[in-house]
Amino acid sequence: MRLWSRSSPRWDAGGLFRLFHALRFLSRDRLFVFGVGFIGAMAIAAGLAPWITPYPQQGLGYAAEPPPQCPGIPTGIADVCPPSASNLLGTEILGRDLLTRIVFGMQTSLLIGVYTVALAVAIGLAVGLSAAFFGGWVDEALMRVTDIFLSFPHLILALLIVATLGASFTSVFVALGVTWWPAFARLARGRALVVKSQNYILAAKAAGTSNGGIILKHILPNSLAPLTVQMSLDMGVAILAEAGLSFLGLGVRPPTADLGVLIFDSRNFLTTAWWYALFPGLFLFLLVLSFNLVGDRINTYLDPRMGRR
Amino acid sequence: MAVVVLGTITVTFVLSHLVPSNPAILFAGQNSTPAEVQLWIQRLGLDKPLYVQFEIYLEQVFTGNLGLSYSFSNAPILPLIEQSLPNSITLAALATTLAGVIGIPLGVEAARHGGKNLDSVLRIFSVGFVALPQFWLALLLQLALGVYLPIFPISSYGGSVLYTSQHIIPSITGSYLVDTFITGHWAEFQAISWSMVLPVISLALYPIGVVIRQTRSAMLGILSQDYIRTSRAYGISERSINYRYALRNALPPVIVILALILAGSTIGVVFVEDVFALSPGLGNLIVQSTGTGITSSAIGAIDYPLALGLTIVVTLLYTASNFAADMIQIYFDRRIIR
Repeated sequence: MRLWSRSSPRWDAGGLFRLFHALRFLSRDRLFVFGVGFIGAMAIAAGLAPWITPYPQQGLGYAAEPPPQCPGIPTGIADVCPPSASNLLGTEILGRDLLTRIVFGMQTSLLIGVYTVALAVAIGLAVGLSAAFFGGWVDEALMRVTDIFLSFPHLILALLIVATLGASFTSVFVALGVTWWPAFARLARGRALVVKSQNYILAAKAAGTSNGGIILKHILPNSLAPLTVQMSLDMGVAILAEAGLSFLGLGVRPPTADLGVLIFDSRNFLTTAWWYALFPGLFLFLLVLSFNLVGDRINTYLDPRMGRR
Repeated sequence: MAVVVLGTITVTFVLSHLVPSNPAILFAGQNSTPAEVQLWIQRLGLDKPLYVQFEIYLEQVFTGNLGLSYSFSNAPILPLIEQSLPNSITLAALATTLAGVIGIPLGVEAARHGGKNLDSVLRIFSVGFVALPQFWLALLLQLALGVYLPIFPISSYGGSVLYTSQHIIPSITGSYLVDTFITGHWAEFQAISWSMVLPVISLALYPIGVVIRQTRSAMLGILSQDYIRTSRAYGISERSINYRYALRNALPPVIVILALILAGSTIGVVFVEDVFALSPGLGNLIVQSTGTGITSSAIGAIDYPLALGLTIVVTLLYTASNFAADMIQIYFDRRIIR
């Protein structure tokens, strides 16, 4: 019995072994491998976008120099060209390379996804852990606020917040993060209630650790595990929501590349340029699909009804 | 529920006072004299202390007065919303129904073939449907079934359908589909339902994915129970066991999910109505209120009163559906009442 130990276990016993077991089991699942692979590939491509895309300047928002020429094809401000050797996926409304814009758009999507989930987790943890730790009226008040936020259709609230703050990169992830945290708050509270009753918390109290210290050093690290699954699931949803906001004109502003904006711009060319609407959406779909597959497979693995293999 | 409604109103009120721009100027117009602006300040009560303003706002909301919209030339907001709500609810209801009709049998089949090929295929479909961006799906459907194979119109039931005929069709429920049906205007009914096919499909795929998963997991829980084995031993047909004995007990959580889907589809409706340019509808109104529609290219001209009114109404609907979901759950399982 480690009743008087000053430090709490970072992982409960066998955690590392269980992680290994999980990875070994999941790596045999083709869909899981596809999901992880696609996310990894896209993350690397997005991270290296300035070096690996054919026209990095256009990705940053500069116009195509010289503008692409393709006679007999619809023109926006420059020519919207079909896929060719020089523009693998065609060009967009300003004549820029679609592939380049998509890869840079992925960068935006992934960054906003990560920021949104991080902000949501931070708020959720702060609310959930304090609710669990202090209990009583603090718990009651915090959880009622959580309920109110949970009962909003969150995209509507996000729309309102972005409209208030003005459309920009920051306001998008702030709006999404501020509307996203209730699920994390509930999860964190549930887990922290369990952790709170452990002996090492009692020991820490007896040793005179401050409330803040107990929450940060003992309850927080031990409440994180169940949140990770939710985080991977929410990445996909957050990316989808971000693209949706952009599609409604309430997302990232040009010249920043964005998948939602690309799809929105393509609407006027629907009857004349099939590639324009198809490709950005396809990448968006595959990215969200990958996050969902990964989340789904982990969930299946953790589901007790599936039986322990 | 009352707490949620009060909370919503408070949040919208707080947001409306974070706006940098002065609403009085927006109401009075760009080229107004200071005296006119002063008049609007008094009319809107902006010169009163905040708590008095909140009191007035609460009173107005509870008496159904959501204020005036400045993007629709100072028209009162409630009638605007009342006009567009029925069409949007029709869309959402049709999509939810479709999700139930298609998703539940597929979910049952997935559970029946648990772990085998059909199950895996259905699983990929359900995960895929959930990952589809609805606005992109709507565009693709337009492209495939509107442009290349011109079967369905790519936009608008539009008000024009109701007025080009010899006489104006009376607005009874406000929903075009229902109105043309109950007044027996078959040509118009056909035109409208035809133009709603693609929007409903693009709205329904996401919930179909959700329903398949939910039905599957509910069915798996039931199929492993003893009474199912007993029925098998009695020699009851497999079909009968699945659909009459197991599904009946697996259904409650699925119905709850359907109620939640109905609530959540407000958001999908916004995108789909926007893409298909379905004119009197919530989507159109929301896009208008945020000042970002195709029609209004000027960013920043947010129609605040309208946006707030919409938020309140949508949240009320959402809360009501959630409440209905809770009630359904209680109806099926009395143990929930403690």
